[in-house]
Amino acid sequence: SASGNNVLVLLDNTAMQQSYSLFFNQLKDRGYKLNFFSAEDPSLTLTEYGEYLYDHLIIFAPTVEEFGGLVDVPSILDFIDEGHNVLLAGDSTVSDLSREIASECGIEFDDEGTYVLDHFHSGQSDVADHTTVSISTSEDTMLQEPVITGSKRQSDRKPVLFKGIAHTIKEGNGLNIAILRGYDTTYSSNPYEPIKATSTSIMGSNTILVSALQARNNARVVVSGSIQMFSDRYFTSSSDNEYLTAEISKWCFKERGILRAHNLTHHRIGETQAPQMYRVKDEITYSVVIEEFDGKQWVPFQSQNVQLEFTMLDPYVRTFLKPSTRGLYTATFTVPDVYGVYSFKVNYHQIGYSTLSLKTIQSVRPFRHDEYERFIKTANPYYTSCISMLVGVFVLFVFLLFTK
Amino acid sequence: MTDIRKLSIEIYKKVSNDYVQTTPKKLKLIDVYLFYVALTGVIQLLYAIRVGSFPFNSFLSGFISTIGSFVLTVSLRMHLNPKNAEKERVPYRPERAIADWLFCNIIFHFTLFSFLG
Repeated sequence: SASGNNVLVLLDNTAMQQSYSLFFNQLKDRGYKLNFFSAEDPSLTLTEYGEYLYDHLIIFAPTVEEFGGLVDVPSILDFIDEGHNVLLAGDSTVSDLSREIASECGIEFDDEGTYVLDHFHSGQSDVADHTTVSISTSEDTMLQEPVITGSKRQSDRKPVLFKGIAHTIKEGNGLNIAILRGYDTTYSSNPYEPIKATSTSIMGSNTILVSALQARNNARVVVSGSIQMFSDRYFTSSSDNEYLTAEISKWCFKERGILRAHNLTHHRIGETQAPQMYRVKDEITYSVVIEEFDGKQWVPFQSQNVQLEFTMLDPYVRTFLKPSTRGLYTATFTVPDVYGVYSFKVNYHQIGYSTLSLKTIQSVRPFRHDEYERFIKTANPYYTSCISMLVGVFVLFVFLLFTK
Repeated sequence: MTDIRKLSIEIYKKVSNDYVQTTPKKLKLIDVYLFYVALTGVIQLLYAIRVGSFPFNSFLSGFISTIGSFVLTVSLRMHLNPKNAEKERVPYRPERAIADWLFCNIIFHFTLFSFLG
């Protein structure tokens, strides 16, 4: 991972290490050091002497009412504020503790005791119990971003099994991302009570099953309503759970979708160093190297839509940065007519990628008095008239001298 | 109507004939020069109206060069006309007049060139 390999895993009970062994083993295979604890262990702590002991947190403890030791909701929120990642799984019996953590991340779980139900896409052969939902991952149900959900083709994917609670997020706020959602026929309700008109307000495509938050500091929180989605039983039941959870955890723990920029240079065309100030109407080029992390190392990032703004209160110039094969992005433009203090801004927000925010301040000066054009073309008639008058005076003088 | 037309044509013919026959060669030369100066002034004005007076200092400089030259040359013509001397309105001092005219033109154009930009 780009940000460290220490993971704290909080479990309902330590027996879960066996029932979720396939998921944990594939994390270990990717190089993570997992530290298993029972969620109520009194020796729990996230920090020691002011430094974080862990880089990532997995909370597979939906029923725990209170974490043990020094871990609690404020400390977990601080953990996220410091840029670390959390993977939280809930259940139909999700406790207030997990609800609070999730709601601080913009995720609202449905009421206790409710399940995600879908009578048309049930994963159980038992007709009576439709609480296991089988979602076949298509455009309607799964986020089509390979950064988060993996690059396996649609035709190779099997359905994903899910049994748990639904949640809602405010889509469109730019930070919450819905990864897996229900069909139009999916709804959330308590299956053991009669249906009333007010049974649920979560239904259809608004039933979010797995969602994520990428905070402004690029910390990633993935919340799944079903802890059983990660279980060995579901992995081995002819489903795509193993692949999807692996891909989502890769994104969550910052193995993918991390960008960094370096070698930012800007200068006039034809020179190699930036002067202290640019001048109005200079031709300048701006270049930056953007790389992304592919799980093991930094490779050049390829994208056609990275934009550069040259702005002073308003963007005077906004162009695309053209990529090259080595991840070098360049743009060439003419400094506008207005002088002042500008900044070069690159703000790149793409779903699933960390935000790239680059800002360089640069002054632009007006023309020096000797940098204006010496003779103005439109004034040519006036120049010629003055000169011709003077010439005419001398010619007339000569003629007047020599005529009688 | 035709009377007035006939009359004006007669007047025009008489004036132009008299002018051609009675004015000395020097004055005719100066008149041609005056016409040329007026022409350049008018051309500049039309140009400025059409295209705009963008470098306004240059436009003023060019236009005023024609006007100033016109005025100076008219005064030169007045000094060089012997008929004026007879009526004693303007003293007849041809050499002094030409020297003055040349000197004034030079200083005038000096100023204009520095304003031309």
